[in-house]
Amino acid sequence: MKPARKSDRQRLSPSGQQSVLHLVALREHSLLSLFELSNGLSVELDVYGITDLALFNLMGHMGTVQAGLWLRTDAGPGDLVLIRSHGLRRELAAALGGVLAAQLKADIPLDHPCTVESGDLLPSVRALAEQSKVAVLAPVLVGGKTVGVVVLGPRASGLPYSDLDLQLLRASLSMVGSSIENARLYNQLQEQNRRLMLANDELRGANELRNQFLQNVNHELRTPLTIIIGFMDCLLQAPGMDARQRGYVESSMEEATKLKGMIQSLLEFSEATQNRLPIHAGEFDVVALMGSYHRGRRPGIAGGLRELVLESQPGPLKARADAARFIGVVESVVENSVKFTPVGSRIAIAVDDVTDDQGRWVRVGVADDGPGIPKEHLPRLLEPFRQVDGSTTRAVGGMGLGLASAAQLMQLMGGRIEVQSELGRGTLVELLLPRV
Amino acid sequence: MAHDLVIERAQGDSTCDVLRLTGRIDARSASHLIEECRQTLVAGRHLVLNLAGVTFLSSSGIGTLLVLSERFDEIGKTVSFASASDLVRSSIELLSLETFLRFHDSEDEARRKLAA
Repeated sequence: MKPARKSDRQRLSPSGQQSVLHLVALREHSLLSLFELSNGLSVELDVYGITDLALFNLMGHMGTVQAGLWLRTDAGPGDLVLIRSHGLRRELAAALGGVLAAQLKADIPLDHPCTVESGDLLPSVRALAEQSKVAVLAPVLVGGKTVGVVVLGPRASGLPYSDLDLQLLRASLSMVGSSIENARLYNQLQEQNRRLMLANDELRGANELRNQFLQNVNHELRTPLTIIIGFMDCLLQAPGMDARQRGYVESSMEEATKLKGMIQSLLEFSEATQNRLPIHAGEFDVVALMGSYHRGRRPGIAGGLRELVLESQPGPLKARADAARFIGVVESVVENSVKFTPVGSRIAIAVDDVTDDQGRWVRVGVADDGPGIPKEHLPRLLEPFRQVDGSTTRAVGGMGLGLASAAQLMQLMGGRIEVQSELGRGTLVELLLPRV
Repeated sequence: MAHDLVIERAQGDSTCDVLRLTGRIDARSASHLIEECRQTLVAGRHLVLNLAGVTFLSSSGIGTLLVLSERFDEIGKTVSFASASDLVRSSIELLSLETFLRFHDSEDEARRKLAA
């Protein structure tokens, strides 16, 4: 009998061949996943977009229905904010973020992906990870520093995460880390540009205040001057003055009248130069306008680890108003949301159309999930705190419109503002514009 | 992001919307698909995604389908996937994820199951 050839000795059974083919298919799948992530990240410039891209990719790459990503904030060293989680209970995800932050603060390095069984983890992290059915924890590293943490659930196939899987995860998160860093730098740049524009607006505002001051001074000077002129006139009408006295009064009268004329000129100049910003009403598509606003504003807000989303009804939805002034109103409302919500919050702009007993409207809602406004403060929100006479100065920074001024502007454009809020649930500001 | 996925809204019924997909479900088209499904989510209706015209399902595409299923589950509704090609189904089966996604052989079958 001839000895068996080497290839015959190594021939696999049919089930063995199946396993090898399955393994090859999984490896190909992994490679394609890495390529896709790399391509996708190269065009994404927003922390939330990057997170979605990363988690969708990792879930489909590793075959798990659970995933979450936290990022470190600037608020406190080691603090982590949950950016997204899937398949994890909300309260468990929040608690997990807390213990992961504790691990980072305790200087127990999480510098490479590890399974929950094998990692060097705080007991609290291990306990919560097991309770949340998390199988793998991995750092998002930038320049050797941990800027975030990713967790993944067990694989649906039941296969454990191999060393190669953990290396693939490391490679994926290395790309994600670089993208997040780039996004943050880009967002900072966008934010600086926006602040420059705001500073420009502030300067314009200061100019307005100067005009207002000038007007006030004029009024303050004119009133006593009118009284002086009036009494001098009485003196001139009255008998009993000698020629010299009359000469003095007439000279005083002449100078006072000149002074009054000069003040009048100053007043006219001040009124002429004051930017009264008339309303230029025109028709525009609110859906398109808000789309462009969202694209411009989202990166800056995402840079501060808050998410700005646009949930718009299909357009066009046309309204008649001053588009530039309306954007100013939207900006001041969004700015308020950013100011009064913690990091990790979500601010949603919704555009739709509504009809009520007052007419047909295009409605732009700005909703946040922040702390909300106490009920007793709601009625005062839209009261003007800055009178037209300028006796009080701006109370709110940024665009400085304030909700009260925004309400006045909306009214001037034939629309209105409505505010609803619930403590602990968030605030919804609705801007209604007359629909065309 | 430029993408290769065409989404056509087909005639649904009182409880269920139907979207017919043609092209690739991947990282580029994920947000477009989620945005189209959002309208059904907001309206609190079931959804059938007809995948007959889907030629490629990437890892990110799989992740997108999983997240969509989770979002519909959260509001007590269902998203079903109909008429997926062997290629699409094999991508899901490779990862043993078929138990997390409701697949049906045809759009009609998916709608019948939802109505039941």
